[in-house]
Amino acid sequence: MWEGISTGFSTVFMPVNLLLVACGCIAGTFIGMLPGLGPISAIALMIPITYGFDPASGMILMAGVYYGAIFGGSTSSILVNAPGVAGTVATSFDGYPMAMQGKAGKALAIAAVASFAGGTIGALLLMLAAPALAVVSLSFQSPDYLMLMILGLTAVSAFASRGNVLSALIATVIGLMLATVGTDPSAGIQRFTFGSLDLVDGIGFLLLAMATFALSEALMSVLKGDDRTGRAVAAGRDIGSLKIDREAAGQMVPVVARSSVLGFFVGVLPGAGATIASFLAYGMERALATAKDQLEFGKGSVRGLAAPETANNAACTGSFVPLLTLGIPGSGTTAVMLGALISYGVQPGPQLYQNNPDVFWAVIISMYIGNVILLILNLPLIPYIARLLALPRQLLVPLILFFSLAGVYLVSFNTFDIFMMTGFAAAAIFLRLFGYPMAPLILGFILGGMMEDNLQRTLTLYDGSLAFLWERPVSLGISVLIVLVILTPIVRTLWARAS
Amino acid sequence: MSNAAHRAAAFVLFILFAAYGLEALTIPLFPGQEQEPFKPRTLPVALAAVGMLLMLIRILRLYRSAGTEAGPGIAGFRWAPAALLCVAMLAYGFLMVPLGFVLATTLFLTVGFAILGERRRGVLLFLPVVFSLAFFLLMTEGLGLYLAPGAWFGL
Repeated sequence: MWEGISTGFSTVFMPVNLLLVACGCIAGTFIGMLPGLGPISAIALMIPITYGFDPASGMILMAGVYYGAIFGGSTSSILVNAPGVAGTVATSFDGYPMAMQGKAGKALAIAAVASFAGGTIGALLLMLAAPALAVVSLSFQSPDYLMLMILGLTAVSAFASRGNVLSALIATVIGLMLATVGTDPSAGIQRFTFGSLDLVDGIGFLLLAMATFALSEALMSVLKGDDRTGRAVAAGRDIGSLKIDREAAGQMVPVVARSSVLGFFVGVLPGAGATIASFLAYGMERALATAKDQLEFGKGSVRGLAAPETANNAACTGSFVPLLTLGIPGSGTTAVMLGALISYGVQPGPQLYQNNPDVFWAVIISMYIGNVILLILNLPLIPYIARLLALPRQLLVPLILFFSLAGVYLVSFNTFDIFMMTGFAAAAIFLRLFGYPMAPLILGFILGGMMEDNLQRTLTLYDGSLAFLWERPVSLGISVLIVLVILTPIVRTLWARAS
Repeated sequence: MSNAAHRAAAFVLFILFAAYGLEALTIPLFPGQEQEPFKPRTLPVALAAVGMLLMLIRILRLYRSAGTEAGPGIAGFRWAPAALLCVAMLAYGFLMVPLGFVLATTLFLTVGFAILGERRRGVLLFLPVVFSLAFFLLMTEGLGLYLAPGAWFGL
């Protein structure tokens, strides 16, 4: 392990990679602050840029973008009460009231330090957990992987959409269906291509990710007439002191310790992710606070701000555990990263730890470096980055549309992709308007191919029988978890009705 | 968003799932493949069945619930600029080959800015040209990508 860590450090500390982390953090912060654009869009926008990079450098840039986007989302939560991503909603509960009291700088500093601590502790836990799980997962076979993928998809649906399980499951099925377009991998037969040569290779993951996130989010902001940039600029002009006083620091220490561990383990669970982690941490701190301190929550409490910020960053790190060790993403963001890794020719999973230790460890170490850079570089730059948002929406939206379209076109040089993107963006808006979430769709799409491969191997191995469900202990255990995951929201709803 | 609108959307999706299922049944098989435990149509057929079942449950739930469903309300939505931007994106795709990257991008950005209310002539005429040229030079000279000048200019 120590050899791997030193490999990771030497890869990350190459000047070009340090520069990439720094650029990623700044670009991610900027994109994350934009209304409607979250880490998935930010990472998807970076993929075309990283095609020429080696896998380690590409992933280092994306890890920086991921952290930057989360921090950018926190910044817009604090400055303008407009969380860029769901994972930073809880940040606005106490961050925005603090900013309204003229302490925006202090709130941003608390958020940055809490994020740094959460990410750092998360990275340390990842260093311990990932290699151990990678060794265990070497014994996994196709049936186990198949069940793991089904667990990931059902968990994302059950937890990610907060009460809207059915819509999320439907979105997952749509994603899986889109993955079946193109040439069948087992027999080489064309499916759902309708005679079009442009569809023979299937739908590109980048195309779908850009259309369903970047394009549809930009168009949704046009539909809603959303214009928060003016407020962001106004808020960014005078943010006050960035200092954290001794009393606030004292309050933060135990909160950070508890929330980072909680956030990491919630992040490891497929589908749970940063949003649930941040709300759980906020709830936990509120419950642990004295009656007097509880009154402060929602009015600018240091603990109320530090807890979700620590937990969401630790959860982001935790979500890399299933991606790196099992090759199964637990969230929409890690699903896009999985797609990027596959496009670099790297297959995440237990073999990654053995075959590409430089990528494996570089990603882990870059998370830590990304946190350091966020703290020392981004925080002082926040007032200036906020001013960059002075770019009016009528200029910003067409530029986002252009970058999304050009990003895909410059990879394929096929104008059919632009037509498909427009169609998928319109379809994504339709689905969003009726409450069907996009993250399960993209996760289903990315896992679809791997799921079909493992289904084929499993059914061939067991001659079409489902006996693997009870003959293999790992598959059986995961099947039980799947049932529990499906039953949890149903029981929760029945419980709520009964009480 | 009204319950009736949600039901209509659910019906549309149900029909799409059914059409996908019917198309899946027409996926050709090699001789003897019918007997194999896994066929190219196995997963698509299963997905269509699961999708239709989930949609049926959703439709039934929508009929049982009288209130509104999840999803943002659409009152006050600005449909026209969003639709025009979609048309502009399609036009961008159509014009990319005949006009070439620089001209098509310049036109797309100018039209996009105008659709969203930009009226300053300097911005509408100057910014897209500078941006497109800078991007073109970055891609061709900086990253070594070949971007065709356009069929009309190649004649």
